[in-house]
This record gives sequence, C-alpha cells and structure tokens, in this order.
Amino acid sequence: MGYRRFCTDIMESTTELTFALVVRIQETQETLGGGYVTVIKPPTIPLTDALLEKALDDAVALIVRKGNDALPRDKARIRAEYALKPKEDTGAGRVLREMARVKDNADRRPA
Amino acid sequence: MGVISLNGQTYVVGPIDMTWVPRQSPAYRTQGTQSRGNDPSMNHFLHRSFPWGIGWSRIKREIGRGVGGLLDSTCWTALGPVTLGKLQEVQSHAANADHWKKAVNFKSDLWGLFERDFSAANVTDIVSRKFGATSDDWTGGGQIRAANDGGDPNATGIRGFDLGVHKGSLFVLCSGAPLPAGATAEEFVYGVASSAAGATWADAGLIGWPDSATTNRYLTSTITRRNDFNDDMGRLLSFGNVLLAAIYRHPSSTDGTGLIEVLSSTDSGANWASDVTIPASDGPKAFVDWVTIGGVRSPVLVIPDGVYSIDYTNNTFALIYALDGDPNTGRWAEVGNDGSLYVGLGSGSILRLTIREADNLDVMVIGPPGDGLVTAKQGRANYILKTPSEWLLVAYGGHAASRNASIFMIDTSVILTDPETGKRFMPWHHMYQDGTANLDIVALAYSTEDDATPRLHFAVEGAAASVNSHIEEPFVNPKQSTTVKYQATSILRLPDDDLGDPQATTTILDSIVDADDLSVDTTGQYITLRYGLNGASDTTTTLGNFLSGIESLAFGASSQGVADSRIGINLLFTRDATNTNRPLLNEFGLEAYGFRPSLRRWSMRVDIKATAEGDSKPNKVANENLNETVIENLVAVAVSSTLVLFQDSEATPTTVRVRVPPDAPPVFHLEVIGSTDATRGYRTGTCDLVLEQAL
Repeated sequence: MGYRRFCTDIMESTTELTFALVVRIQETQETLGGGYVTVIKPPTIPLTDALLEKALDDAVALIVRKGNDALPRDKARIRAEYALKPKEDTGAGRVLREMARVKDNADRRPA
Repeated sequence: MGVISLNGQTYVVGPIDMTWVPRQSPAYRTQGTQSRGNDPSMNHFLHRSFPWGIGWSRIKREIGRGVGGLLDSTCWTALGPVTLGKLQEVQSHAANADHWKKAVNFKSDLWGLFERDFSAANVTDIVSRKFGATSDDWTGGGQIRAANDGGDPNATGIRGFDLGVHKGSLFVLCSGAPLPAGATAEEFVYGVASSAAGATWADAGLIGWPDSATTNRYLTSTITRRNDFNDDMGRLLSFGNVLLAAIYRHPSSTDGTGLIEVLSSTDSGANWASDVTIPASDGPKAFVDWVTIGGVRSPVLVIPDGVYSIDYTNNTFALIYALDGDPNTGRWAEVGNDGSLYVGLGSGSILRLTIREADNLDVMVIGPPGDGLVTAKQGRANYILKTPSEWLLVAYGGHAASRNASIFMIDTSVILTDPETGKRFMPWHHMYQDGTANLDIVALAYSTEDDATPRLHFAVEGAAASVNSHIEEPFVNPKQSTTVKYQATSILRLPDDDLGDPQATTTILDSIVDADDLSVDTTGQYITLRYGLNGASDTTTTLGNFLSGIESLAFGASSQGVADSRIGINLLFTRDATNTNRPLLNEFGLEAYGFRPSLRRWSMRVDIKATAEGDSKPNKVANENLNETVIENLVAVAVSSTLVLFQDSEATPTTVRVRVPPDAPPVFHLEVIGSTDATRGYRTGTCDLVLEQAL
C-alpha cells in the first residue's frame, strides 16, 4: 500500500515554505486527511531535495496517524499571515510539487 | 379516304380510330383483407401518425421517405393521437432568485440554484430555492454565497456554475471564496459550497481547493459581473464516493492560462486533490458518469475540444473523441438512459457516442433529422436532459433574431434510417416553442416533486431575470389523462408531398380525418386545413374546418378538386377557453388520383396504291415502283428508333411511336401485281398502322 500526496497553495517566504498537503491511499483513493505544512528553512543552507522529501514524509506520517487533526486547516489565517511576510522564490515550491507528483510511491509509506 | 402526314411523308388512309392509352394497371387482391388500398379508382395518401417527428421537408412516396414525418409542428405528436401542444405554466421566483441556473431532485424536493441579477446598486449573491407545486413558485432555501470584495461589494459579482447531489448533500460550484467580510477580494477564485438540507450552506472547498486570492484568480470581471447562461466555467460530478470538480482557468484572468483543472474529493470537500489539467478552448461543458474508450466506468469530461475520460487514481486523462473547439459544443452533454453519451455541437447537430465493448466507439448524428429544422427552430443544443423513460429532452435554438427557442423530445428507443440517404436518426418531437425570438432556453429539469405530478421545468433567459415555467404531465398520452393542459392553438405542418410523382399532376379531391373530441362549430375544438400547391406557402389557401360531423373537406370550386404536382398541408388545431380541452387527430389523409396527360392512340389503314398515285406521292426512285417506295417509307418509319411526326389534320404535328410494342407493329397486307419490265412485279396493298403518343 502506498500514499499519494497532493501539494497545492505553495507559499514561500524568506524563512518558511508553507503548502497544503492532501494524502490519499494509492490503491483505494481513500483520503486520509489534509492540512497546511510549514517547513522552517535552515538558516545557513538551502532547502535541499532531501530535506523537502523528509519534511513531506514526516507530514504524510502525521496525516496517516491523525487525519485532518494532524495539521492546521485554517487557510484564511495562514494566507493572511503569509501575506505579511517577506517573499522569496527559491524554486523549492516547484520542486516540492514535482516531488509529490511521483506516481510510484508505494514504497514511501512511513514506518 | 383521307390524308395524313407521317415522318414528313403523306399517306392516303381510310377511317382513323382514336382511343386512349391505358397507363396504370388496376390493383386487385387475391388474398387477405379488402382495404382502401384495393380501390383502383382512388389513391389514399395517408398520415396515420408521425413517428418520424419533425425535420422532413419532402415526402417522396415512391421510396417512402418522409412518410410519417413532419416539416414542423407545435402540436403534440410523440405518443397517441396528435393534439395541441402542452401548455407551459409560469412560475414565480422573487429576487434574489433572478436567474435560474440548474435544479436537481434532493430529499423530496426539487432544488434550484439561482443567481441574483448583477447590479451595481446592490450586493449580488447566489441562492438556493425549492419548487412549490401549490403556488408554482420557488421559495425557501437560503443564501449560498454573496459578493464581497472588502470594499464596495456592490461593484463585484458572483456566479453559480453547477449544482449537484453528493453523499446526501447539495453541492454548488461557484465563484467567490468564502473569506470573512472585509478580507481581500475573492471575486475571481472558484468556490464550492455544500448544504445538508438545502437552506444553510457551508464552505466545501477546504484543503487543497485552489481559492487563493493571490495565486488562483482564474475568473475575470467580465464573467463574474454578468449572468450569461453560457459562461461554462465549472462543472461538478458525483462519482460514487468521489466528488469531482472541473474549473476553467480562464486565459484572460490574472492567473489562468486556458487550462481546465480537475479536482477530486473523497470526503465531501474537506480535502481536494488536483488530478489533471487539460488545455481547452473554453470551459468545461459537461462532466458525466460514463465510460473510458476501454468500456470501463469513468468520470468523463466534455469540453469544446473533445470528450475525455478522467483517471483520478493515476492522474491522467485520455481522449475518447475529438470535437471541434466551438465554445457552444458539448454544453450540458448527457448520458441517456440507453447508456450513450449525447453531445450537442455548436453547428447544431447532436452526436450519440456509444461504447458497448472495449475500443469500439460508435458515433451517430441523431439529428436534426432528415432535411433539418425550419428556420425558426434552427440553432444548437443549450441543455440536454435525460428522463427515466425513453425521452431525451433538448433545449435548442433561440440564439438570434427570427429564431425561437424550442424544447424537443428525442425518442432514444427508435433509430430511423432515411430510405434515400441511408443516414440514421432519432425522431425529434416538439415539446415547447417559445413565443419570443432571440431568447434561449437555458436549463431543464424533470421532477415529480413536490406533489407527485411529473413536470418538465425550464427557464427562458431574460434581461433581469429568467422566466421559469413548467409543463405538467409532459410525456402523458393525451387520451390517458383529462388533466393535461394544452396550448390555445398549435400547428401541424406536413412535408411537401409529391403524391407519388412530382413530375406529374395529381388530382386532389378530398381531405379526410379520423378525429375525436371535435366540436360542432368553431366556438370549441376544431382543426383548420390550410394548404399550398407546388411549393407555395402551406397557408396559401384555407380549405375549411374539420368539426364534429364534418370529417372530410373537398378541394376546389364545387368540389371539383385541385390538380398539381405537390401539396403542402398545414393543420391548425384550436381549442376553446378551457385549457384541458383539445381536438384529437388519429389520422389525416387525402383522396386523390394520379392524373397522367391523356395519350392518344390512332389506328388506321394506309392505302399504298392510292398514296403512290396521289398528289403527294413520294419522289421517284430509279428502278423502283412508287408503291414499293411507299412501302419502304412505311418500313423505315416502323423501325425508327426515335419518334416520328404525325399530323392528321390542320393541328400541330404530334410526336408518335409507330411500332408500338408488343402488340401492334404495322401490319402490311400486300400483293404482287403487274409487271413493268417483264422481269418482276411490284407490291401494293394496305398497311394497318397504330400510332401512339409517347409523351
């Protein structure tokens, strides 16, 4: 059994990368839950693919365990807060989106 | 004795007998039932019923084309006897429910989605209302969403694009994210709202729904600040456990690039996944539960560019059938109760796509049938609605001046084959035609709510509000209900009838009906016959009225008949002031006979000797007696492969054939007499000729 990950509403500031994550079971398309993930950018190094993948896996694991209660879902507040922050586009959001689109993620089920 | 001219040669003849050429063999029956078809003296051109529906401009009786069809009709012709069209009853729907978008059956009511007319003088919103049969009105419900830009809400608009039922709730796909009052503008993003009972609405576009006012502005002010019915920006589909939405990222919007995005939710809108994006010429036209090209059940999206199956498991889409890109193509395409997908084209045709087995797509144009619709009815499909029975309803036409919107009933249980072209069609029957040109019928709904009376609901577009109406008992046989209401008048236009031979004249003597419930005079129910001959308007001449006791009308002055090659019939049905009264027509016919120009036949005996000695004898041929010359001339005429000229009086010469097959070739009665040079005699005598007009 694997999970499908759908990342949308990606918002990047100079200090954070925030996005909406919805997780489904690959085989049945049952939705396990969703919410907004915020990744704190490391102060001295860029957000690498490995870091993004780790953050994504951790968030998926949270949603698998707690469903819609795992992550904040108040998108109006999150967007309003983001609007006040200094913006940055490092390309991490696009990487994240493509990373989540990987179809064959059956082996990515968190332990 | 007399003189004639034949093929330029003069002959002396005896008495001439002139008779008439028999042209049609009489019919007779050696077994079975004696019927009116056995009457050799009269043809009966009958219209028993009209199962072919409208769209047939010409009856070609030799091949049966158009028989059973109609040029046009506003009558009821679909089932049972022909009668007046069924009456529409106007519904009331007070503001803010101005423009009706769609309605669905939900929890024992028919619920409608309405838009408030956009105006800078008030805050526009979208609302739900339910139909009440007691007062024929739309009431109750509640506000789904209101325009709100945080500044002047009057200046912004809001739209409703689709309404559906999913997992026990109503869902609406609309514009405008439900941000708190005073927040930044959300006018140009899409939203989804749901309601468990129809009155109180909540946001159903939660996590994953693209409603960011900074990155998902996919609509334009042109779209959001008007109420055009053909702004096909979004569609919903309930597909088992999954709710799918297709939204158009309008290329003129801030963040749109002309793609249609398909999203899905398996938890009633709590979480959404973006499945696929498809390049499109315009927004999604229909989202239906159908099959892939492999015959597997699937969500299927109809856009102007094609029909696509959507695989939300693997986030892919596959083209089933390419369309033409016309923004009016595919609007509210529908899966009929025969399992086929019906798609209207912007050009006016309606396609029927059928997949019964894997990789086997059958495409058929179901109409308009035959020769097409009359001018007033022409256009394209705006809305296609299936019903539980065989009838597929189509809102059609009305898009221009002199075009009146119609609702057609298409019988999906019948496939016609045009005997002339081999094309296949389905019969189209008239259900309703709007009286005002250049207005569209924008939506249809069929429901028995809320009083168990079946109704066809529809809306005609209007400047400030749509005009909503319904027709009760829309599919009921007129003979099986006394409560159906009917229009005051309706017309039935038969195709231009060639009466078996458009090249020849037919003498039309009588028109006959088998009708019920006619009144004794024109204060009640009656049927008026109008007609036009040989292509003239079918209302050129009014023959009279069929009344109780008057079920035949004779043509011509003093009932002498009229004669022409074709006739167009226009029957006008009329009732009195009681809208449940109606005349019933079971059969209409004409009594006529084919009139062929009288062809004459002459029989005569040529006196060869007298001809050879007469004043107009032929020129002498060397070594040949003039009697022989006359004989040779007659033989030449007899074997002529073309017609010859015959003149027996001062009249104009007539073209005739001399050797009339098979029974009357010229017969010579000859004898050899005398001898002019002692080596041989010469022939003379008589020749019996039969001459016959060929044309």
